[in-house]
Amino acid sequence: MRSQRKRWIVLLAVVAASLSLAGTATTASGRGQGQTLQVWLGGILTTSTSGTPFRKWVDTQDKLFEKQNPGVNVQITLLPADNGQLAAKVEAAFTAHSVPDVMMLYAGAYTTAYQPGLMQLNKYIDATPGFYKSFVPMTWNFACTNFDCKNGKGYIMGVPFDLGGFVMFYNKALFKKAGLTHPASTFSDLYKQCAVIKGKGILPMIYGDRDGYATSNMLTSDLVSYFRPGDLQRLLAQKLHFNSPAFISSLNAIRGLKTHGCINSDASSFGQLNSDNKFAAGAAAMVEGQPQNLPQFVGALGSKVGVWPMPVSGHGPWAHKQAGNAIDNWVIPNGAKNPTLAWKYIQLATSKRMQLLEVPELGSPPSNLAAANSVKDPYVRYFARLTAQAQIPELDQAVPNQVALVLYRYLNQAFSGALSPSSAMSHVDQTMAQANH
Amino acid sequence: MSLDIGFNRGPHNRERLWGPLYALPAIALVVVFIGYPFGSIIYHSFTHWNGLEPARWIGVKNYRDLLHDSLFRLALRNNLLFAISVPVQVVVPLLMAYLIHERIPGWRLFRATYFLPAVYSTVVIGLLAQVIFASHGAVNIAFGKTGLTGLEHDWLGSGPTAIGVILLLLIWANFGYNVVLYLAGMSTMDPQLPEAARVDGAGRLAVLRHVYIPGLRRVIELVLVTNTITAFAYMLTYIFVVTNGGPGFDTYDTEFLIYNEAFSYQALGYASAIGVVLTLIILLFGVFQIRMLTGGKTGSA
Amino acid sequence: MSAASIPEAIQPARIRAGSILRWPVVAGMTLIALSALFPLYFMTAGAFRTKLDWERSLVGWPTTTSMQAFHDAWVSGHISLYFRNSAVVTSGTIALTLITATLGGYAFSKLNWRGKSACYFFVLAWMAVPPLVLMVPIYVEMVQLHLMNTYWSVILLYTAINLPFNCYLMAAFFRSVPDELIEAARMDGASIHATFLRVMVPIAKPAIATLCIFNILYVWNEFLFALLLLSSDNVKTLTVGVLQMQGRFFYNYPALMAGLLIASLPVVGVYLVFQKYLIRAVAAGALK
Repeated sequence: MRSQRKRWIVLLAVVAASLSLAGTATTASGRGQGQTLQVWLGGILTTSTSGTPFRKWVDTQDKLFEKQNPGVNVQITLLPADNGQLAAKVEAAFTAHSVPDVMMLYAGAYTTAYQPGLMQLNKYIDATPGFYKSFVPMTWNFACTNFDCKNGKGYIMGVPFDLGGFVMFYNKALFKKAGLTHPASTFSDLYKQCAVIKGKGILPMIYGDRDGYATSNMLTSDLVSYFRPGDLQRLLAQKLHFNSPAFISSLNAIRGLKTHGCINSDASSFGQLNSDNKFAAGAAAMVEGQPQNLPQFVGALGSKVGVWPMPVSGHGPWAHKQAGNAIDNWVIPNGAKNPTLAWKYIQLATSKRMQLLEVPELGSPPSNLAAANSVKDPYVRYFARLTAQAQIPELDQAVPNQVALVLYRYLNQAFSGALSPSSAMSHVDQTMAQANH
Repeated sequence: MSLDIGFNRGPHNRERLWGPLYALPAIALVVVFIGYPFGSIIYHSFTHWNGLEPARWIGVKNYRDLLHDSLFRLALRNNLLFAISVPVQVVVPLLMAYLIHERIPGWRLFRATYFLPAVYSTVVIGLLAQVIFASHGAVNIAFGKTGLTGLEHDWLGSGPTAIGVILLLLIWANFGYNVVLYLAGMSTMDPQLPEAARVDGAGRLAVLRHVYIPGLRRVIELVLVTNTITAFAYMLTYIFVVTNGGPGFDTYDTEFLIYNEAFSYQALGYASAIGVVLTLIILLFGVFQIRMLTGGKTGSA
Repeated sequence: MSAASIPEAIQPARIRAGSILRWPVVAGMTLIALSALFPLYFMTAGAFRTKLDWERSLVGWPTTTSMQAFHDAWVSGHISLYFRNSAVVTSGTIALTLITATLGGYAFSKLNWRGKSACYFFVLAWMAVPPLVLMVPIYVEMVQLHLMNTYWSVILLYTAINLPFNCYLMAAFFRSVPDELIEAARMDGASIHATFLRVMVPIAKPAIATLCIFNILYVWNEFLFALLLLSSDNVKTLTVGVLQMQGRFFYNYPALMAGLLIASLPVVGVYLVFQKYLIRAVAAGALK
């Protein structure tokens, strides 16, 4: 029986050790000195794991904040990068009334989705003179209900952090090899360029539409050339349908990329992130992208990275304008334990100083006006100039969440040919109707 | 402790006390962490609930909407397709376990590796699958090199083949579990029985059919039920990492739908209703299968 | 483990030579064995690449070697911390599972008490609930119990979720043990507890080994609930921590591969240990 008893002793020891270790686990909120500010980072900062440039920015922000507010301990939680997982965590937290003090959330509909759970920030903004005006005007619309901030009188849910838009990144060296200088501005000219580039044995464009993101980005950019003022509001009010001439023409133009041999043959099952990686590895001449791609591309290709506005196919009044968006909002959930502290944190994060720091790390134009005007990096200045002309928001951030998620998939199917454009768009219209009733 | 003295003492009476006490921890845990949350789900299936505002009672509306939801039908159909793999998952691992048990040449290598697919994180498997089954991935390249260019295909780009890939991964990743179960079962069987059969001149297949399979009946039952449950309730990670529900909606399954409804659409009430329906379906399958195997005998399995 | 150490009575018969089916079967099984090893190769090759090399060829032999990925994973990824957390959660869950499932399995199989069948069916029926369905109520419950961001939340949860299956496993196994053994122990004057500890548990080694393998794997690789319930670095597990390295705009695949490799190796190790134990228990005559 000796070995058996020994085994029991071992087992009991293991059990005791595990259970006592389990007991020593600490809870998240510091029960130490002073206050703790709980910060959950979604949006662009989900990727701020240590060692990344994003993290450097976050650490700088926190150190500065703790210095300015002695006795306060900032605790960072990174939300998952995957939208579904992020939504799960945020949704569960709201449901359980166990919310942080400050959050960064993707802007637009992703913020609107949580509106009942977010604090209305007008009172803080009104109490801080000059605050509202210190931002690039267009960015506020993504933090307000109905996409209309009414110059600060609307229902404001968050504070915008950065600007985005859509651009065509291109590889200058590969373009030179094909005898071209930059991408075309219209789809019809782009098709001609594809033939030339392909003739040199180069893949003209890498297109990652597995999740429908690529087509969504191209569609939004192209719709600017069709829309008239007020069309966005009409779309949201269902007076303008997805299954309508502008959308169909645009989708046909985008599908033309396939028929004119511009893109990789497996575009519809290729992930967008993979296409970014491929472009960074020099495997294609063009890729659609956003300013956030800049650090990766410049890091890999250096000065070979070129930026150009997206091609359009329409001839509307805004044909030379842009689609843009505010990418991230800072929000304060209802039930936050330290709302005043949270507001101070947000003020610091969106100050000119922190926003100028953000630029080289994150690559995207800041929402703070003064910062945007003093940016030195030529790429970011280009973006800032481009996106300041934004007339309509990114489509998938304007429509209700569930429509956006469905929209991606139907765009993927419209592009791959599994559905005709009008069939895909009428499905989206149906979802729109369901979402709004 | 003396035995069998009178009615009120003796082993059976103590069992009546200690039986429930031994079972209590298990029952308590199950009630607190599965039963109670499930009760909440049942309640919320009759409400409209977005998690941010209090739930609003709407009666059976969610269930009625479910009847008309074509995406739900598609998702359920995909689960049924996944369940088609179950017979394969029951039979093939049994044969494999038997071959290991019988020490077929190469059994050492096989015994060392058969469980490995189950060990890998599904993320790795999913990533690998994306790479291998891509248009310019290993599978198509292999077909091209061996002259079978007709078989090249965008595996993940079309619904039926995408489902096939996921099925393949499921079978590949899971068979190790089943083999382990069969081996454990074989190890508890009386070794005299197969020995006796062999002495009587029975061939390997006959021994398998007449000695092992009847003896492993309970294990087969378990394998059948758990693999069916997996086809309905544990596919989420595979779908996430390989296709994310695409292309379009083609690889949606019920779990994925629940996940999206709950968190992306904030329709927690509706998601709860789907969850209740899914649980009922699984229960029905389980009961049906057990009935089938135990020949209608009820009671504890 | 040589043939000589196995009692002769249960030495399995050799496959007769000349069997037609033998070679295709062996070939098939070898193919499967190789496919089982492939991910290990893939992870290792990937972990040693640089990020750019990853893009050039995902499956071939790496053209560059770099330890950068391991460094990224270990340092940025806080891997050592998450490793500890996973180890604690796993061992805690296994300990609690062993206790509750063996006690419960014994109660449902070999003991007689009123309501046994009903309780047994009650416990087993919960196998039908997909855990995903319970995500939100469990989150709420953990908040109410003040268990958020503690090891206990997942330990209790994982144990509970797997109890139906584990109880069935133990109960079925115990049921296959002949009653005579228990009678014999009782005749010798052993109490219920002594019978359980000294007779049933040692016999149940193959089942316990199986239980351990399955549950260790489940807990180690579990993602969804760990994601929800364990946010702070103090308690976050390896699986969640490694997957954090997938970003929206950056995919540091080599670091991800390095992280996944580090995360898989312990489980592979556990599997090798337990697998030997399982076979040894078989060969040594578990029924003796």
